[in-house]
Amino acid sequence: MRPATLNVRRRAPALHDSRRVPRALHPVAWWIWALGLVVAVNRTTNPLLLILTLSVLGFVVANRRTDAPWARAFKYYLIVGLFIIVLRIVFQSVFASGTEPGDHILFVLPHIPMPKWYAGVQIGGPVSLEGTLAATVDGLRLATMICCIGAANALANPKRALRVLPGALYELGMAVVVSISLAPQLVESVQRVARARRLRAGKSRGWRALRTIAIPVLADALERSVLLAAAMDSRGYGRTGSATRTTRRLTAALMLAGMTGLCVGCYGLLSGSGPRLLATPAIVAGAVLCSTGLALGARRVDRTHYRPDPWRGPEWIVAACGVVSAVVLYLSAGYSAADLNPSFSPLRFPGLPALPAIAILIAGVAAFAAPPPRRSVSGSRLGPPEPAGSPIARPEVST
Amino acid sequence: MRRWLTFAAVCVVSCGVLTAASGQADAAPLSDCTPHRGTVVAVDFAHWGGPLTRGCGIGQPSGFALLHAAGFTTGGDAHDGAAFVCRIGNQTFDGGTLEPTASQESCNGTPSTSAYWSYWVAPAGHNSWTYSPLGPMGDVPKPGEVELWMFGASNVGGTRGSGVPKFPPSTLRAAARTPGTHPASPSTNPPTTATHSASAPASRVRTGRRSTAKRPAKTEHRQQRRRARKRSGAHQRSRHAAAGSSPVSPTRRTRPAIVAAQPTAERTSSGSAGPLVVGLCLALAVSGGAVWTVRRRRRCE
Repeated sequence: MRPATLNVRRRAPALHDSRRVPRALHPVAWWIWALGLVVAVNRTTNPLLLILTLSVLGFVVANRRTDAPWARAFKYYLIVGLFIIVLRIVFQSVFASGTEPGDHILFVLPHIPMPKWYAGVQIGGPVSLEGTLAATVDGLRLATMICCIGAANALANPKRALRVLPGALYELGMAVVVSISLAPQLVESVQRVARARRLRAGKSRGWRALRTIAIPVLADALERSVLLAAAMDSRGYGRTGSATRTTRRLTAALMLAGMTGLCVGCYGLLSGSGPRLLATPAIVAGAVLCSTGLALGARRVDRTHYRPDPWRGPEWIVAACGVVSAVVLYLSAGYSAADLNPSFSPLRFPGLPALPAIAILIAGVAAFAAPPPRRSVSGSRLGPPEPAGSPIARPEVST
Repeated sequence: MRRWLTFAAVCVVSCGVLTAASGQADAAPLSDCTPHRGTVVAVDFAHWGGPLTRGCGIGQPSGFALLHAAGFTTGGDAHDGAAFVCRIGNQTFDGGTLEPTASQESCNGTPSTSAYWSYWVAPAGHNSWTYSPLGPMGDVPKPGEVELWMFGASNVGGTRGSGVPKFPPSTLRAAARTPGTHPASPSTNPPTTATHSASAPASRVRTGRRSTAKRPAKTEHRQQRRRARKRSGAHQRSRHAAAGSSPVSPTRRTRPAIVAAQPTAERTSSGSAGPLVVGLCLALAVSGGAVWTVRRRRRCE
């Protein structure tokens, strides 16, 4: 026993200050933080603010991620982001979007003339520096938004997030959790298969390598779903409790209508170009319908929590950091709106509006406000993944 | 490798050639457009209390090129590039500021239908506006045609809304010519119908039109009735708007004068690189911190 303790001390050193007890932050706090940043990013096309957001995301993830398999996924989101930017530039260049006189032409693609009835689409033609820059920034914005979601996925344990959902939303939440944890699970599968190939000194490349990776990953996914289904069945999922058929249908209808209202309202509020008048009534109606549905549905499932996640000071601070950046960029007060969406035609340097930049840096405070993560004792990368990596390993719900 | 080098060289050369060539846009003066030659393009800045600015282009390959040839400048949106006309500016209004400004419309994506530049076309011989079925890149201007850019709202059919033109194309045709930049010269010989007859150019400013695009005949009657309501406050108004006062309501009865477009003065200022450097340094510092943490974690493992 004694050597093991020593081992722990050596392998999990005081990476952050040792006075704080390592624990997992409430997953909902991470999600509020990340969604706040998504809202903030949605408001701007300033490349400096976007790059700043990306580096803040990287900083927080590097400091506060656990060793769980999904926590290693952030770099894959970065790769996806890069792919999005490249794809955006290619599309912008191929489907000519026109150049203004005085634009700096980078190169000229062969122009494919279109028939008159299809004149709305132009293929080929000159590609300008201004257009390429605008496309890069537009792609960067989407990439940053996806990386925000990636950061939340890397920082929060999706299965623990499922526990805070109200009873009526349980089935819906399960579907959401399965879908958002798909990418991390695939990443983990790919990593595992790659490790196995390395150990067997598999040197095949190209198409053959793809086959030797893809088939085990798919088999893994199938196996996982069968296991998950069995585990859920044995834990009593799918039972209806004391609810009657009418109640269940009413709940479902209320929830569906409420969610639609919320979606329409959110779009109206956040898009900036949608009808503002529709937004507030839709959100209010959606919220009322949803809460009625939740109140009705909560009666049918009785759940008790095993080891509930606490919501303490750090949770408040982390959530507030994200909300602050969203609010500052949403209100667009105290700075010039032109700085938030700089134009590259004619070419000019983008400005750096002080208040939004500070707001995004404030989101980085989460890296210090959140408690240090629990580190796995077996630091070896070849060791088995943390037990929580498998959806059935830790019973989190008991009736 | 060699192939790539050749490709790069071709790119650089074509880049140089095109940059040199791109500066040679020749703006045709308005007098070059006759009822059978050239296309008149007009932009209505009335939403901001500005004038109805008119220019001319001859043999332009697209409506977009026509706008630029006539002396207008445009701003695209971030999503669709330069081809989506999100902002238009001309020297005659507010010193060539592109309208709508960034505080009014971000031009990140397609603007909402409640405030956007709509594109109207009236072929030679037609005295009603057609909502252009093509974008400015796909449309090919024809001789004698009139093109119009209106800012405002429209419904899906393009029949109602503040963006639907309330004056007939005849107002803008080459026959109804403005003499230079004097917007409010007294009227002498008002043209009666919307034809492109080679009658003597009427040197007057036509104001006070309200008509629907659907009924050209009635329109002319109304025009004659309202001819008395003239105004000549274009200069005052645009100066007013430039000073930042509240824009005039688009539903007002009278129109400001029609003025001839002037090429917008080149703006060569590319801003300062200071914010760029500061922003990049900040981002580098933060991501440097991230990389340092990752390294340390790896060492610990």
